[in-house]
Amino acid sequence: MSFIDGLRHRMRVWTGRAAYERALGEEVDFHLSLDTTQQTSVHGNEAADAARRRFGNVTYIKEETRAVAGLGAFDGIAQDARHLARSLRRSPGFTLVAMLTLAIGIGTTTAVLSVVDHVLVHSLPFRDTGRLMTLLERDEHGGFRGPSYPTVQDWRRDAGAREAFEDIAFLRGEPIILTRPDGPERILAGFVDPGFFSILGVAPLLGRTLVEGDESAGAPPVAVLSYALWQERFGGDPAIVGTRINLDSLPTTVVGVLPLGAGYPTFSSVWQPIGHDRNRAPLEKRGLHADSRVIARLRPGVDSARAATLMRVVGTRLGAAYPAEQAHWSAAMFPLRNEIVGNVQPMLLTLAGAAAVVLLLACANVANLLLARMSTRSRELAIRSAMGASRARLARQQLTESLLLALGGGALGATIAIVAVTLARKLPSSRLPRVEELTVDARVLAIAAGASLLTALLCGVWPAMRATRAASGASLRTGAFGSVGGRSESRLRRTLVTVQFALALMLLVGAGLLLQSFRRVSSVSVGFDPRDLVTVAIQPSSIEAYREPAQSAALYARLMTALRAVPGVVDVGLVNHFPFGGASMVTTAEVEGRSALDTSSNQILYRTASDSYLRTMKMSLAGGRWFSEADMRSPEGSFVINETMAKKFWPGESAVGKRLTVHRSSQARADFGQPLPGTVVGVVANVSQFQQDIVPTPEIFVPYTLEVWPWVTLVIRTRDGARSIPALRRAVLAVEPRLLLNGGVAGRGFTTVDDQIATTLEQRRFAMTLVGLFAGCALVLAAIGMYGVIAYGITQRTREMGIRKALGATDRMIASLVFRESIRLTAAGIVLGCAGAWGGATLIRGLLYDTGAADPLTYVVTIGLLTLVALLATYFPARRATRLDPTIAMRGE
Amino acid sequence: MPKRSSRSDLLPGTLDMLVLHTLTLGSLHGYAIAQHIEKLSDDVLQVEQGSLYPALERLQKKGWATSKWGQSPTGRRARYYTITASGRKQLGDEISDFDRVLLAINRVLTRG
Repeated sequence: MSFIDGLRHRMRVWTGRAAYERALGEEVDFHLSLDTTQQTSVHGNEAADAARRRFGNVTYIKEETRAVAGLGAFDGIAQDARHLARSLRRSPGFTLVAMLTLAIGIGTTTAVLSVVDHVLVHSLPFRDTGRLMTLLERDEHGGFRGPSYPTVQDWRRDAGAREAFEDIAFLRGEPIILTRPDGPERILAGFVDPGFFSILGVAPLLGRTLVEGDESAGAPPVAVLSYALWQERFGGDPAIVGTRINLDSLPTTVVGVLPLGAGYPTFSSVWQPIGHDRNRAPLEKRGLHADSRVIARLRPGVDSARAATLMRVVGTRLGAAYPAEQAHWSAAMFPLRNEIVGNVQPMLLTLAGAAAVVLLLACANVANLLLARMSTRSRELAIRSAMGASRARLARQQLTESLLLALGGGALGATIAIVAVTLARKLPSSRLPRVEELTVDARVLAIAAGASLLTALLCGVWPAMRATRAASGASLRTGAFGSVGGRSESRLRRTLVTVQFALALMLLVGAGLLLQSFRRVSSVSVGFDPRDLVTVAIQPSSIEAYREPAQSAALYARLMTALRAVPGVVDVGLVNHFPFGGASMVTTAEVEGRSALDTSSNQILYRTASDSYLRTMKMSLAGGRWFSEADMRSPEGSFVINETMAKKFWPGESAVGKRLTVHRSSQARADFGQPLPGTVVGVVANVSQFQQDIVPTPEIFVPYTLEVWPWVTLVIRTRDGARSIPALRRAVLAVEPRLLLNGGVAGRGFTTVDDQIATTLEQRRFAMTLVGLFAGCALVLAAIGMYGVIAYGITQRTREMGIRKALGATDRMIASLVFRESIRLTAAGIVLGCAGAWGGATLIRGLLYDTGAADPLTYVVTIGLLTLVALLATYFPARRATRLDPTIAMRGE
Repeated sequence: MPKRSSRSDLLPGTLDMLVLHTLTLGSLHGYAIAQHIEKLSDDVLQVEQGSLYPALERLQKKGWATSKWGQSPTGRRARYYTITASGRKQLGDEISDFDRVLLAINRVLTRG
């Protein structure tokens, strides 16, 4: 029972410390007053004094009692806290810099690694993502095409393909019109095979996904909504399942809603059974490139190499069955994950690396600051030790201090991370996949905070333990003489500064290389004049009156005429897919007199354009001529090709006058895939096709009247750029008020081309800005480190400097003494950093454009900048050194 | 730093034992305990009265005594200490230990 009683007593003491203190005080008072009244020999004050004598030292007795009660530690900690608050208040600069350093290190690392972890490491919302593949067709020459619907159905039935994959599903994306009471809008629909969702392994958030029965001819039209569409257009209505929405003028029953971010492709808004695709005819054509996506799930135990082998056999089988369409083609597969996260991966890894470097730098800086602080305090510690403070107590004090700094820095860092991630979440999902699910990663935060904490603790406690080591007398003496502090410690601090400079150099070089690449990419000629060029995408085919090609063509002509009449408009052209717009379509070409095999892998960008397109864009000709007005009316095929295609198809000879056949490429038309024979009438200088850092591929222009695209982009050369947009919008709506001008999958609403080009550079700009920001942080941290070491060194050598001055050293000699030290450290840092930077640059080569890992300009500028910062950080302490009054300096303190 | 020694010039643990022994008389407050110990030892054992309190704290921590606030005869609030069952058991053990020590000391003294 004694154990229980004791425990109960302890609990009482610990939970009510204040009450315990009061009770102890009252008890002692009671004792003293009782004893005072019992004194018979003396009276009044003398009696009280006698009682106190008999009692002993009241304070000491109380402390002893408290110590027995186990409350002694509390006294110590309270004292430590008071002491700490005092000492931190006395050096606010140190406190601020140390905390900010930690905050920057923890904050940036956590924010950036949260993003990286979210995008790269976090599994996609699909079941067992590693087994999910996207399938394409590849020919013997390495050319790719999207598999046609019949081919995919062949695969699904083939025993070999079934051995490789659990299931295969076809998806065709198509823009459709969603009409709600507040108006119509274009959204992207995915028409899919019934197995599509079970391959992805997505469970619906509401209702169900698509099933086999939805395919049958008599089944009512149904749709599955994306989470985003459900939230943004239907207010997250929980009762949406079972209701009807208007899709392409067809009442369609909503059967389910997908969870957040669980759709594929990620930009689709609804999914419908492929059996209900309006444009079935083009689907049935075998062997042609199709605007399709095919997903498949590997069977357990089958790896992608084995699956590829199996699919090659399948390809041979199909090639024999359909020699015209399928010979020489077989399936190629890529992990689905790569498609979703692929192109941002190098950028994110670069940012993660940069953030890690900043964290390292921050740790080095805090280490440096704490070491400096502890060594200036080593004498104080020695005195306190001599006066009876125990080593444990002193160490605990330093620990409390470091801990408080680390906690403060950590809290500030977490705040920075939260703010940064909140800002990042506002990025459009086109720039960061599945950005809406982004959160601060607790594990990353814990790791970053842990690293800083460990640094702070090690660097805080270790010097304290050293300072109070047995030979504290020596410490007292060195302090008194004001000579250089512990040698190993100052060597450690110098090493830290050197490392800081090396790390800063690495980041600066990285930022410099990205900047250089950015400058070079943005100065790549786009091949036309983007200034004051405005575009708008329109899709008349969704209006019943314009379903037929001739109807659309007539509307296009009327629109161009109307826009030309708008004041401030110089010229108007049209094209099916505008460069930089993202969307594109390819065709294949056959050259007369050559076997089909020669060109089967030649994927050619297919553009249908007006006769006014070239002069509106201000593109230039490399040979022959552009389309004339007559070409627009002629049923004869006339083509214009780009330089890349001319060189590839007719190397060393003129392409003008050559005959070739391409294939109609609009899958929304019944004549999809029909051959289109014609003559090359001209060659145009290359124009950037997607973004400036992608080398243009072969490209062919066809008169827009020969294949009337169901949607086009109108290209308008204006005098006032964006300011003319309202007038342009009115002109378009005056011709056809039913046209939707809010943009969508077929293209954008009214935008300036300058903006579109800037958008394609956004990712580059993002990476460049962030790495630049990190490099800036790094530079500041390194400068602080240098300043700290030099200033501290001077404080330690005050006496020596005084003697030197007294013996006749000039200011210049004193200054050179200080600078020599700084330059030595900087030089070492630069040598080390150059090696690291070169290695790092090789790793980020994928992000560089026309810029080598050893770009001399970048290195020269960076080294110059770093040296300048080092000298600046040295200047102020050096100036202080030269202004020392020798008589005061020599006196020591 | 010098190790702080107990200011009572008693054998270690003796004071605890004396307090426990005193408490067998009944619930007492600190001053009464001090008085009793002085009387018990015929003023031979001179102890700073204050050192009683750490000892009382120690006894409570070990569960050998408990305390409760109550009214003193003069009307003031005072803390009354009571020995527990385990305290009594302990007292039995300790007294025999103590006797052994005293015996040894006496033997040394008489010989000298």
